[in-house]
Amino acid sequence: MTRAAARIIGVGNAFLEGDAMGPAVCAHLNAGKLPAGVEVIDGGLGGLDLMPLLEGVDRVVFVDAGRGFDPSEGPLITLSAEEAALHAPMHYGHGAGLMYLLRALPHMSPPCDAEVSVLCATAPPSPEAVRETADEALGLATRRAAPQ
Amino acid sequence: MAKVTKQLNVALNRVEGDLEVCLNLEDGVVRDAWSVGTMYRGFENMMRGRGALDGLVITPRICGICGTAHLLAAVEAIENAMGVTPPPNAERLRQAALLCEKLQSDLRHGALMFMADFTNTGYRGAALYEEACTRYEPFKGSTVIEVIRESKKILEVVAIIGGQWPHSSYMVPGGVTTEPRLSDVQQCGFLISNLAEWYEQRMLGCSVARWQEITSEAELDAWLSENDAHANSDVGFFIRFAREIGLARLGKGHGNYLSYGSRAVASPGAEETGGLPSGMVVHGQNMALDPGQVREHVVHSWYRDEDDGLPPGKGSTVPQPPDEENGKYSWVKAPRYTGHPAETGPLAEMVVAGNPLFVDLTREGPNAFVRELARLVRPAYALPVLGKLMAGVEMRAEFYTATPRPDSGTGVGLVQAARGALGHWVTFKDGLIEQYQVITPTSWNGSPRDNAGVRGPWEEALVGTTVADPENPVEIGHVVRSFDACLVCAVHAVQGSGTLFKVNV
Repeated sequence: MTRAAARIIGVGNAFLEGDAMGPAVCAHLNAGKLPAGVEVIDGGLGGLDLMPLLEGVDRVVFVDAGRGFDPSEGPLITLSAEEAALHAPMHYGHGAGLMYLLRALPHMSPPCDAEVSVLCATAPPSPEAVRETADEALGLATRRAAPQ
Repeated sequence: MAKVTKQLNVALNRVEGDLEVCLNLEDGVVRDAWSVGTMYRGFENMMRGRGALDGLVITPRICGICGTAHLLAAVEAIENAMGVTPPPNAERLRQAALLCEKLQSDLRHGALMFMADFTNTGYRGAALYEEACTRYEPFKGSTVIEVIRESKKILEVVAIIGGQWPHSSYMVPGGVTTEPRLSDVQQCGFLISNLAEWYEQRMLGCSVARWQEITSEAELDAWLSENDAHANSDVGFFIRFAREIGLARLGKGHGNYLSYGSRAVASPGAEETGGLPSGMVVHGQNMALDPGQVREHVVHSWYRDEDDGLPPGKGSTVPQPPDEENGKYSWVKAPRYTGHPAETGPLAEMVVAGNPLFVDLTREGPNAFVRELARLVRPAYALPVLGKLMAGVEMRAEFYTATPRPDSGTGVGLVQAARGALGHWVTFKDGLIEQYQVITPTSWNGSPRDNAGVRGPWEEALVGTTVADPENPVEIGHVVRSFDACLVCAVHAVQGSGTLFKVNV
């Protein structure tokens, strides 16, 4: 399988407005032209089930609806996988989603070698907010790594 | 001595809190229980007026775990309405994908959910507590880590069969849209074989053939003491820990069992594969499955009352705002079969199929121990079937039969999903969906009282439970989790209102 440069994975429930940003961003991006090497996948309600999507790719950007952030942080907050994992539930459950996956990431086999980040959108999925979130996700997916 | 009575609201879904159980405790014993689904789902209303095939895309999103089961139920409902039978190859791939979903769910539930409770601090004094923590401590336990890794691999089989992951929509009326290459089928066989090897070594400590020789509780005892591999396997440890804490004393319930089973697949030149008996067992009597016997009661659910329980194909889903004065207390309806509540899931699957070990273990009724044991060892019966299903795929035969879009008619798709009996009922008119009803396994297990006031399965199973510490009611978690509660399926959602106090378990 060809290794992808980047994968944008939207998570959330497309049928609940407050949780629909991830799938809405996927639909928006898939309706347009994507940069070479960038894949867009609607991860839906998946949690651990999304682990196979972290293989064969250099960079993964999860897009999810975010709640509970300080309004001063703005409508879009980017977290590293490690930062996001701090919010994971300790126990697995039927609603254990993205954060549980990120906390389980160190145990993935083969090891995950992708750079993983989470883009949290706090605004409702209005057309404008979806477009802005999609642009930000694309930027994260395609930006050059900072020189070491 | 004065009785100590208190009301305890317990939020059971650790993340979303979409299930609550309200208990009346009297001197530390549950005298009554109410299962509360806390949010309206409404998929049935969302489906009305949509295109005839929309259920194939929308209903798999009812649940983040059971998407394959919902896809299969949706496609079988359409085929049932149209009188279409898919070719054996398609049946094989569909059933194989469903079994993979069940395997993954069983492994995760056991190690990541149910046995995580064995690390509860309430068991700190148990002789096996330290070992439980070594195995099941979240994100650290040895079994937890292995299950996270192995359950990922089995998903690869579904991805190969479905041609994409997630949200595979490869099941269509008339068959499947994917035609795997020989190398795909071989890769699936390799993955299944590897999982079987790991399962035997880690979970059973013996071959699945040896496990299947066990036909009674006495033989189970003999198996456990036969050697260290058995005793130290995860199934062996589960039995030992469960006996130490008296898990079999919890969660008795009604003792009615419902399973929708699965069809056997017969291909020319290949061994007939699969086939799981369907039926309903009431008071030890096994009745053949008749979907016409299913009714949905709503007297205690937040829906407009009907005169009597309606068949799902004619059911209505008209929500009413919660009102504590009218006796309604849940967004889950109360499905009944011939008027009886029924538990469903791996144990029901075993009992309806006449598995001698589980028939023996339930001779005095079900309990939390035997429910979870059935889930832990279901792979021992499913893995050989899965291997045969894939081995029987005939590369030169059809995977799809041309099928027109449905225009009118009614159909039902009944699937034995990971958590039990899942049904989709659909009516078409003028090429559109006129009526759609879904009854999930958790609707059966977590139903509220019915029109006659009879408790739902886990409401009944909770009555009589002794709670040692109301601040840490681990016993309640054992009972409800033994049913594998999935209110994400049943109601979708969040929140709860503690009255006196509320505890997460």
